[in-house]
Amino acid sequence: MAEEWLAATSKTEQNQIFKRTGVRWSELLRLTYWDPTRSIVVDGMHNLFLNLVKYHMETVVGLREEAKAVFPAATTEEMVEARKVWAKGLTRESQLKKVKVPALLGLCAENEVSLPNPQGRRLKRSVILAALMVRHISVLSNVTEFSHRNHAAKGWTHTMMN
Amino acid sequence: MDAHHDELTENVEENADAAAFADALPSTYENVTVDNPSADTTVPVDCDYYRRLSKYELEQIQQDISNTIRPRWQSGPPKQLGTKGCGKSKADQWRSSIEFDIPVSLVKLWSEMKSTGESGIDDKIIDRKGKTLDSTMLLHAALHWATSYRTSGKHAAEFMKYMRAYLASLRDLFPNTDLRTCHHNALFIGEMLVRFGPIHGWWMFPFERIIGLLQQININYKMGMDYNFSLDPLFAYFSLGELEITMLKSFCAAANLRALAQSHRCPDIIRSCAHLLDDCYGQDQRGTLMNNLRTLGDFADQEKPWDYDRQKFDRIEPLIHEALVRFSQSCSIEGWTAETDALFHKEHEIRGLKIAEINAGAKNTKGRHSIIFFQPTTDAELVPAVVRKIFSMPRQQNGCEQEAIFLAIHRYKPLSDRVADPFILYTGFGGRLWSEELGPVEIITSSQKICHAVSRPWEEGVRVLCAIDRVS
Repeated sequence: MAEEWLAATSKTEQNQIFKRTGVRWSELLRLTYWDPTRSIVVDGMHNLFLNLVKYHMETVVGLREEAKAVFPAATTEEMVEARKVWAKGLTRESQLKKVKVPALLGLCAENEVSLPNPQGRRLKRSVILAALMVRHISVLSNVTEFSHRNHAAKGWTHTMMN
Repeated sequence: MDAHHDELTENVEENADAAAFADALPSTYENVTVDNPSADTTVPVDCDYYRRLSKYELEQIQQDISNTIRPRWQSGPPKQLGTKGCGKSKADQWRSSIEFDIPVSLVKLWSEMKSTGESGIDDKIIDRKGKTLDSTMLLHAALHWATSYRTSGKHAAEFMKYMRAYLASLRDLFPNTDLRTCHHNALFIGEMLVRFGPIHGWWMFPFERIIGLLQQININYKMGMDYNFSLDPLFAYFSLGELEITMLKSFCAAANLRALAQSHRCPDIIRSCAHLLDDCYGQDQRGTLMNNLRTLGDFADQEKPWDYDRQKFDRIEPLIHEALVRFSQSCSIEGWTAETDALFHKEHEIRGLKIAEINAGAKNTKGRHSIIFFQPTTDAELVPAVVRKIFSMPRQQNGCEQEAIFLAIHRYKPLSDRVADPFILYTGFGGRLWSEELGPVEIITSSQKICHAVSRPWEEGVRVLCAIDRVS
């Protein structure tokens, strides 16, 4: 694998190989007795502080500025309004017209609606709406009424219904 | 040992080793041929949605960081932590943030939340935050055992216990997220602690500092290529030039000189100059083994006769003198009596730690080295105190006069019952709430265990104080 990396002709190709295998070429590999899985010391500074703690702070605790892909948390008022609409029972998407996206996400969280992985992009409003509708309809066990109204939502709503 | 931590760690199998978590690693590394797209396409929303701290929480944390009093040698986390403005944090900064700042801030923020007693979805969030906090504390405990100045089979075992518990807590919090390779690697550190000794001897802090030093050298934007060499294709490939060779040579020369000064064959003239070298270049030893040796060092330094000048002595305040007399009655020190005069120090170094009196220093540095933790009697728990005065007195021992160093301190009083201490759950953390009220003057000697403290106001009249105890 490392030789594959060495033989790669461009940086992009090397990056791709590294992404796939997690292995890069090292000059030490030319030493015949050197076994990379056994002759390595894990460095305390990099491993503990620059990896573990950094990962913990940024990902687990969530200590970082909100990236563009993520919506800010909904305010309490917004959530109160959104819950009211939800409690009334949904039949049409237009009922949720006045509810803003953060509050919609809040509703999804409260009602355990799973959403597709946005893969770094912002979730589309229509996708969230469709997911909420599916959830509501499945609550009413009135599956037949539901039609795939959104092209983007089609693939995964289908898997969800199964 | 602390009950809550035990509860957290007991569920994890003791014998589990690195392999136990191997299945949690990204599968892409295991099988090269299968290009495995992310295993699950749907992520439970509550994982992602409540992962991030709210703006309010972030602001509180930033405010807490700027309110913290820490020793000068500890580089605190950036004031704008968590925003893009703070840039990339350094290893030292991550270190201080996990050692004190973040756990304390989180305890403060989230223990407040529990008391409001909301219901429904909020319960879930609180539960999740509680789990996140527990996991933060587990990581803190693991790092505490790993980064101690001492190491032993026990240190390694404790580190492994907490690290496993921490990884289990991550799996619990994010069942759909793969662990990273660094989590896997961390499980090998326990073994290395036993094999290579204290982590300070083999971690990368000193190397990084040399890299930093090299980067700072002004080379006028020239790559040090020697043109004679560059004509030769082989040397051009290495492109090692005059500048680099000079640097390498002087680096090796300096290293050899140091080695020479330490060896027995060293000529006396060089040995007599060796302390100059130390004075000029011995300062920057943070995070190296040398630093540890000094901190752990026995009292060899103190065996020297003390050359003092009575003209420089000052009268001790009556209040402190009373305490000194009481102290001399309670424990007698050989060849020493409680005199009325002593040599006062604004700042004094005790086993590598600079301790300063509370009134010393300018606005920004005042008090940063005056809040200490000390051990009142052997095997007792460390207690926090403020240093009021530091002074030396002569002491007759082994036929010569030596320096005996005393600290006049005020202890912080323990918390009254009306304030609940949320840190009681995490006694392994080493930090607790203390009342801001100070006790009467007491005298301690420099031979007692002393370490610096980080502190932060908690609420009116209450401080959170945490010992930076790297020695246990």
